[in-house]
Amino acid sequence: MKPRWRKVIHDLWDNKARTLLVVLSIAVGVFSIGVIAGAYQIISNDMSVSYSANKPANVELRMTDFEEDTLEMIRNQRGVEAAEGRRVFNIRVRVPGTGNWTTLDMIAFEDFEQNEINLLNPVEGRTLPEKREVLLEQDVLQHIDTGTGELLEFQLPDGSTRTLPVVGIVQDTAASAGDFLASPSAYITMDTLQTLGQPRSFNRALVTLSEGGDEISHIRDMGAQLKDKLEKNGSIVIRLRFSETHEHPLADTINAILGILMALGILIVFLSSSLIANTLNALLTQHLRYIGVIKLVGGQRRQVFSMYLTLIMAFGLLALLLAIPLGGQGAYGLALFLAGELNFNLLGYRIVPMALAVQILVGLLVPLIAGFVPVINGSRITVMRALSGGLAGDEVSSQAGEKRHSGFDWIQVQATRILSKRGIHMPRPFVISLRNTFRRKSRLALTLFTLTMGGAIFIAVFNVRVTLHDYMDQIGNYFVADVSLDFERPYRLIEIDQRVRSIAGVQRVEGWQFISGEVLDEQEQVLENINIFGPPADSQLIEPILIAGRWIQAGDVRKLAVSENALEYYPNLKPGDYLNLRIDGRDESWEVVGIFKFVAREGVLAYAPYEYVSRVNHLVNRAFSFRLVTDRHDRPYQDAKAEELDKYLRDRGFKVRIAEAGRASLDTAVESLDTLVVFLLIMAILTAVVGSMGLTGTMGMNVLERTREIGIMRAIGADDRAVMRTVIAEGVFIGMISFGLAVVLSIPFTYLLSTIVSLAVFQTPIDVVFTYTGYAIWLGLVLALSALASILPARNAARLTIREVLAYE
Amino acid sequence: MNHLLPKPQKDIVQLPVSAPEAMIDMQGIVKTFKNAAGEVTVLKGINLTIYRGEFVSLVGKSGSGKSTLLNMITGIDHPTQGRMVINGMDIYTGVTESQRSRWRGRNLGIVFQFFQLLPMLTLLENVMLSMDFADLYEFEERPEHAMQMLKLVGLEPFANKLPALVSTGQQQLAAIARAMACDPPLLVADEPTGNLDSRSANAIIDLFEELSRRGKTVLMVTHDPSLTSRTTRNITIADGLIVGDSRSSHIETRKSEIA
Repeated sequence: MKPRWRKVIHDLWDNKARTLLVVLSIAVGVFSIGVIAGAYQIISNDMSVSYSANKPANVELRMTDFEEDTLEMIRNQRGVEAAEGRRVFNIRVRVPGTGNWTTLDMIAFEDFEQNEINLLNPVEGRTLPEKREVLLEQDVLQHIDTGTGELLEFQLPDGSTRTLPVVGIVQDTAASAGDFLASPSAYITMDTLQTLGQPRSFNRALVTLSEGGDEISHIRDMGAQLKDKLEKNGSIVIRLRFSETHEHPLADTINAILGILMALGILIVFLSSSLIANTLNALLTQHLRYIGVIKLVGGQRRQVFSMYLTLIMAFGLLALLLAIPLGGQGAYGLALFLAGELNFNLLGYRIVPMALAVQILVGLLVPLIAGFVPVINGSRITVMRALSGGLAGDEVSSQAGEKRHSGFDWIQVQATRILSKRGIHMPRPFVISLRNTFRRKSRLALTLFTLTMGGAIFIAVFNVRVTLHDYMDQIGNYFVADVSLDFERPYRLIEIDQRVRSIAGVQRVEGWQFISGEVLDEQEQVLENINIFGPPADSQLIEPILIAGRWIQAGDVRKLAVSENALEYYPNLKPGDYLNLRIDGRDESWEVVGIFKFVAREGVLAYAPYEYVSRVNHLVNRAFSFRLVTDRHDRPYQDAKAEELDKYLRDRGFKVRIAEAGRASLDTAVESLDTLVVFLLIMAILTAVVGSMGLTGTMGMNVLERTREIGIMRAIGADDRAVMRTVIAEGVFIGMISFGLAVVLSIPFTYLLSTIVSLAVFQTPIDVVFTYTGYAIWLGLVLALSALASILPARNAARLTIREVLAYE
Repeated sequence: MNHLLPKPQKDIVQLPVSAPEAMIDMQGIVKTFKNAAGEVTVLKGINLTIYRGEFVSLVGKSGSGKSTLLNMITGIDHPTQGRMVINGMDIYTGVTESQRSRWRGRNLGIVFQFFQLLPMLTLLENVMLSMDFADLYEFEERPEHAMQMLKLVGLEPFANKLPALVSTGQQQLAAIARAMACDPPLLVADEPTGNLDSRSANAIIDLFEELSRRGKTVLMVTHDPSLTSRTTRNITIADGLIVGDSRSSHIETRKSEIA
């Protein structure tokens, strides 16, 4: 082997700490991009494959009770491939002997063996329940402590209970897909319906189409045709849901989130490249003398260039060895976690070729680009400058004889003098720390860049979290009630009012009604479902976030306030305009009096006064649904009151369907959002790790370059603590500067991230909220990180013997 | 000039383990370095006593061991064998490197061939730095004391300049001011004039003579024969052994002065 290549190997091996730092700097970027690119690819592929493999229904018709003949009529419609009936109802369940009830969506199948739509995947136990047996969706296990072979107690509307055995756990990829607020599901045969007090009839039809299953407009058309046909035959279709065969309902949201993660991944690569540039610059500076010697003995520029380029390639290869397997595992782990959260399956562990290619590209190319300038500069240096350590000095000229300070030095010296004149004397070791900070300005800039970006993203993620929670709290203004009571049949308002007020703590009761219909376009084609809630006009249980117009009033007739996602279909919609709606098969024009903000899922939401809605429904002074206000508003109290009311009313013969805390659904949605925030936080932590690695590297290089100065300090009396304090103070000072910059930068980052996330999740931009939490945590973290990042170099500095650094001979 | 020399305000506790008049007392100092080629003994059993107030030059060829010996005296490196007592303290027995640094700050002033001023501090701050490390003088009084030291070496007008902005001679004077900042009884200088023109070199040696007259012990490593003639004692080292130790004609006068 030629001596110069042997030198390259020595360079790699002799300074293991430096090699490790460079390799880790490259590896962290390669790892991050590998994880994100891999997860992106796996999720976007497997999510749709897994979803479509279970034959999702293209059209779901929620109807009043119907029989097999109606189903047959659906099957006979041209363009329908298959149709299956289900009976879906809410039921409360608990482990026998325990106190807490959980509400499930119970789904009754006609025939599990012949099932062709919304297939169930076996997880544990059997997949074919017999009469009086139940299967559970795996998500139920997060709510109830049970399993195969255990018994569960079900509460019927009349308050009586039945106990059924759990015979299997299944996965239903269609259950709750796209609906954050859905209850977990359980499955029985139609034969079990009677046991649970339900009629043996269907109330939901699942339809797959023979063609056009991936064209949403075609699916909507088919849904509208089916609805028309059914309604002409006397059936009542309450609601329609549409879904493409090969696209998970949350695909857009997930892709948007993955897009953000990808952007952060690219940022991490960018940050790690600045780290690499910093380290390679320092390496070249340290090697100037060797370069001088190489040139002195006849080495040419291109030979020096190729030697150091090879060294950089070697760093890149070592980083790839580390980052590729870890990145592959990380990608699969991330995809697995997301799949678990969104209830779909992965096709198994695999290395994603695209991610691998990106990793190799990043691992080799980024260090080469980052190291190119330092290597070019290093190889161009003249022998004389190299041997005299030409570039080894500070960026500030150290040529004696200059009669003026550089501008920056002058400012520093004058600032210290002014402070001193005002009686503020800084200890000199602290002055050293402060001034050392600014000696290598380009290195400082790169370090600050990485640390600041890490900090800004970290802070922004906390702000985004609070922004999302704040928005959900605002959405909570539509769910102000402490307890929601839904009944199987309508009850008189006055009757429920008198009954529930006898329960301690209940202060107010409102009866609500609702109308479901469809929004039509100008050609009277169905655009989207619309649910019109009918609270009393003077209801205090809604604090709407109006973006235009006014709220509903008692005298309103065919007037509504509509959620802003109606703008998706009518972009120029404004108060005073009319919406064409189809309600109970009749086409009507309703005047829009106001537009309000809401989560844009599950169709268009609207409010009209109870006073009018009850007339439309022919249920004046009665309601299915009641909202209660209690004297306390915390969740445990709400749960307890819901339980008490449920028992009280059932005991008195009321047909209670659900009694639950007002915030129950909202809390579930907030938990889903937190999963998203965790992802963002992981990325923020990764950027913070890169930032602190950058600081460690910088401090290490600073200490290495200032070895002589540390020796001088030791020689004139600095003990270990004094040396360490000086180095750590410098690191902490850099950390503090980066914190200040991160605070500023976090503001646009917060706006950017909040907008992207809110558009992805809510399909609407939301008001940004700032929290001190992120700032406080990052301040603590950056102080700790910068102190930690400096401790190792500081310890090394303190360990240096003066003989090593002030060699006399 | 004596009034310019600051008086330390905090006591330094030292154990008197040798005769009070001996500033440096070394017995059987051996230093062996190990490297890939084997062991090399650079100092081969040095016995030497230097008294308070002496102005001593230490001369020897390159590789003779004089810098190694200086390292032993300043506590910068450990002897392999032997005992080194400086100003009454055995500096290698039961003392950590960190404790030795702190001791050095209070008892020893070192002047380096290449000045070794910290480039980011002004001359004034460089002088104050050693007071900070040694924690001598009240914090508020340190600037005034440091200014007195700079005045002593004639650098008062340059006090707020960074080292890079003054001449090399001025840098060395500032280094001497720093070495004297904590009023140490012993000043050790390694080729202090090696990088200076003759005018600056003369000024430095004048200063050393003055300090010596005021009772400071000054030990100076030099190659320059013209400088050895100005010291009170001249020690020659070769191959790790002291091969010459002569006192100049005015030594007896100095001894009586010290007494």
